[in-house]
Amino acid sequence: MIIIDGKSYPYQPDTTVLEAVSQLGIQSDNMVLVVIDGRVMPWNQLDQELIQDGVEIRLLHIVSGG
Amino acid sequence: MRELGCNKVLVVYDKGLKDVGISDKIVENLNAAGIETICFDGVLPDPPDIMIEGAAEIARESNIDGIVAVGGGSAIDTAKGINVLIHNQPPIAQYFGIRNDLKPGVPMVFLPTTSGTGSEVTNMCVITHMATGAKNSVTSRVCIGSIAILDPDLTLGLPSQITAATGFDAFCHAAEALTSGHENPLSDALARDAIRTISDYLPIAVTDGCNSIAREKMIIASMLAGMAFTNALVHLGHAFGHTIGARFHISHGIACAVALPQIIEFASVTESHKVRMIGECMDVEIAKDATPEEIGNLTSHAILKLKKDINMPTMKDLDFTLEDLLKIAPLVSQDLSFALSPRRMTTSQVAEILQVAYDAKG
Amino acid sequence: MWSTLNINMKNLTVSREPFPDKYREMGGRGLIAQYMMDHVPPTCDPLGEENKLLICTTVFAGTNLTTAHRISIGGKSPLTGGIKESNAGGYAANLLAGQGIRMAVVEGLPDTDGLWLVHINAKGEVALEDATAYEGTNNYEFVDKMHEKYGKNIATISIGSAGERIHRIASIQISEFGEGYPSRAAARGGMGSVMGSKRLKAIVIEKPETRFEPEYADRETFKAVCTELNKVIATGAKADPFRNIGTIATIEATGLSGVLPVENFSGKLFPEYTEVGANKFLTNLASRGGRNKQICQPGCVVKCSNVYNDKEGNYLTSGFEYETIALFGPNCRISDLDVIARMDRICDDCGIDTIEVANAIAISMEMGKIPWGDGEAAIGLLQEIKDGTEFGQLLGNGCEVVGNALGCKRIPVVKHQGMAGYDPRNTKGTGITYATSPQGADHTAGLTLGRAMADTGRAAQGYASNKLQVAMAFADSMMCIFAFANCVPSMPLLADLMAGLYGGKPDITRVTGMGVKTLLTEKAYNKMAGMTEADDKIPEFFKTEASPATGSVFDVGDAELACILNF
Repeated sequence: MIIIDGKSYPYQPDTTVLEAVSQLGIQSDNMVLVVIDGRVMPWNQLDQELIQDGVEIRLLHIVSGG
Repeated sequence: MRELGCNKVLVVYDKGLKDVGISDKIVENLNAAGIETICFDGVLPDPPDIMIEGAAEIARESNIDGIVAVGGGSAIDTAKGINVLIHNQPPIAQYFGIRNDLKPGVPMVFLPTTSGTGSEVTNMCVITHMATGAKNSVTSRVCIGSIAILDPDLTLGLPSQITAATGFDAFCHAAEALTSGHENPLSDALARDAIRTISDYLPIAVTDGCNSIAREKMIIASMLAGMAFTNALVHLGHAFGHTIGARFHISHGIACAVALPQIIEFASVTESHKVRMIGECMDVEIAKDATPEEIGNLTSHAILKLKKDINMPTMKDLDFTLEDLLKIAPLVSQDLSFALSPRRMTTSQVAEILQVAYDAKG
Repeated sequence: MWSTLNINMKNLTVSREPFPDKYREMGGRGLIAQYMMDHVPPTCDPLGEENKLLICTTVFAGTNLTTAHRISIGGKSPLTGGIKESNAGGYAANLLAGQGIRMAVVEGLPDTDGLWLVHINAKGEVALEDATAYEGTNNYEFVDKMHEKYGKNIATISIGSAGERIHRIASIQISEFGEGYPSRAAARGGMGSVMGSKRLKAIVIEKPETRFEPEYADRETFKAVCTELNKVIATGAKADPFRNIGTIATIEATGLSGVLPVENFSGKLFPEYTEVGANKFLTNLASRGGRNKQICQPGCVVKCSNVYNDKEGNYLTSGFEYETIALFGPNCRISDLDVIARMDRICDDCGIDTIEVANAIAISMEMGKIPWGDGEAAIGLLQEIKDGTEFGQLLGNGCEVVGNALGCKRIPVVKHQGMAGYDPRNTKGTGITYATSPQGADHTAGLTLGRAMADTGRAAQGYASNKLQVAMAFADSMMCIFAFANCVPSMPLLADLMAGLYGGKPDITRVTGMGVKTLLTEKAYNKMAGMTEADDKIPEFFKTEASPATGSVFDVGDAELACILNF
């Protein structure tokens, strides 16, 4: 299983992080940070990284600035 | 459709088109080419989301692999909405906005019968969200047709008033695309050609609907204007138009026409070089050293004249009162297109423009 | 009944008076705007007799609304020459409210040499005390001394040596809740120098024995709505990078898009930004016993603050924020987070605006005074401010002064105030805010990143800047803008809160109107202070130099800028 924002999804091998988040309708967006097991991964690297079974992904939305 | 690999297509149109025999001919041609057809003739104006969702269910159950839409913007936008829902779950309202993430649909072929919304070449479909009554759009690659077939013969029977209204909608697309501040050289070139063509041929198409040259020029110009605004967006003309159209239930083209001359004059303060292009494409003589205000003034008068030449009714002609019109001023600024104005307009400026536009005296 | 604390530095008196009824529904930025219009001549000398230093909290002072206890510090700015509202977090506003003080007004200049502080004790008694013993003491040492004297249940509002020396970029530092580090900065606009000109070192507030309770028009409704709104904000904050990481998370958005300033706003990309980004920050926190998800005021549910330790695990700085990191970091080509943290500490300690001085250091690098990327040399320049050297004095007066002195043609200021961590070519709406905000180049006045269409395009950017400037103007009168950002879906509840506290109908125009009125008042004040449309301009180099990262120039024309704040 993988966890995205607290919800569980089946693990599918050979899936990139980009594919995993795209299935939720999340688009490439500078204002959304993709955090994988506690580390921020830039959008331009998401299609290069395969997800591992048990990974936890969080999507953090920048709403302000300062 | 065969070249696109389709064997079973959904043909989308409204009942009016069936009555005049156009849809039957197209279905016949498709069948003769060995392509199975499923017909959806329930297109309604300002396509309601629930209508689209019903049609999409038919499409999915029938396992269609292509869509043909024939008609005005409503038919084409209905087809696009159906295509969104072929491989993406309903309701369609969840996809409002700019979407890069939708699963692709099937090939679509569009045959516009008005000139027009330009929808046959745009990447969006405008849908009415029945739960709220508001119109919104899905902008996505899924809304782009594979082919647009522009057959001016399909527009020969268009009545004079509808010709004028849809033709002026195309003019607004081009004029707003030129002055949005979001344009590129390609969209500028497309818009200029559209303006030139529309100002020459729309009056002819309105007064002599059987003039096939005028109809051919207009269908192409409408398409060019559609391409222009897909790139460069529309702004105040459509903000006014959406609001006026929704409140007074008048057709989109007439609604957008109400304030366009004044809007172009307003835009000239920051976009005078683009407003000059509009004027020159309409054969207005504008001095090299003309100020932005002068350019705006001359061009807006040319647009006003075009409206008169095509017998565009004013709000006064349509028996609305000035008081009625001014009441919508605060609503204009809430339309999404208002945000795209090349420079900020206040609500009191909206009211001033509505005042001047009311009887289109300029 | 709320009080105003009147601190008269000419007469050397301090007293409480009833807070005027006419300001009853005002707070924060809105209150400062109106009070300035009523009481401070726009043409006054910002460091002279007639300017006042205003210290206030929000319209929801005394309530349980999360982050209601932001502190707003205002007056005429010696940096911009116009109206200034500089706000911060920290514990002071909470304790001022607890003491029943809605606003403090510091006026006049002393006739004699000296230095003073205001002390409010646990019984609510106020006194103006001699502070000459603390002359030249910087903020960290000062706070330690106040803890020794009064215990840890206090808050401090203080200036360091920069404010005492009347440097035009001097900040006022507020102690944070908890450890009490003086790391929350009311930084922009040089209000520290106004405080220094009045020879006021600090305001020290003890936690009151009995907490003041405001009067509610409808207490039950207010409490119910407040609970709901706090929940909404807390829920939003769960997915907020500021809570989960800190404001440094912003660099992950700006670093890739050309918005992050690099090498004095060259518009280039800086791939090494990851060395000063979120992952490095989190790694350093975890391995050194630092902490994020910290609050700077009681009751905050956003929790964006942090404690940052050095390699040995000792405290180095707190409230370590994006602006400081972006401008001391990539904008100076520095890619060492620890060096930047040391700079943050020095600035908080001597009381100086990190945004201004970082811009000044970048300019110093561009003009060859010190090498690009040389963190130790940059720290050396900050030391010069502390030491009061000739160049240190220049640095203390802002990046425009330094730029002019060194002959730099690329000075990123609007209304003489340095730009924040966002390149205006690549977030044009923010550039529009920089140009048109009455506050000068202030990103918190309306950061449009991701809020309009393409950030490098013009479409909808003016619209976004206008909307956000209004929103920030009322948000800065009510709460922390980070909390506000998470309550936007439930904004009508703010109207319910106003009605619950002050009576009348729950009407959202009461809230949005506060924003419009504040902006118009500030604009009018600046006009009377002598500002014109010529002051609403982005520096020329942003219009002519395309950003290498995106190809974009700032192409929003004067005619478009002129209507942004038309209503």
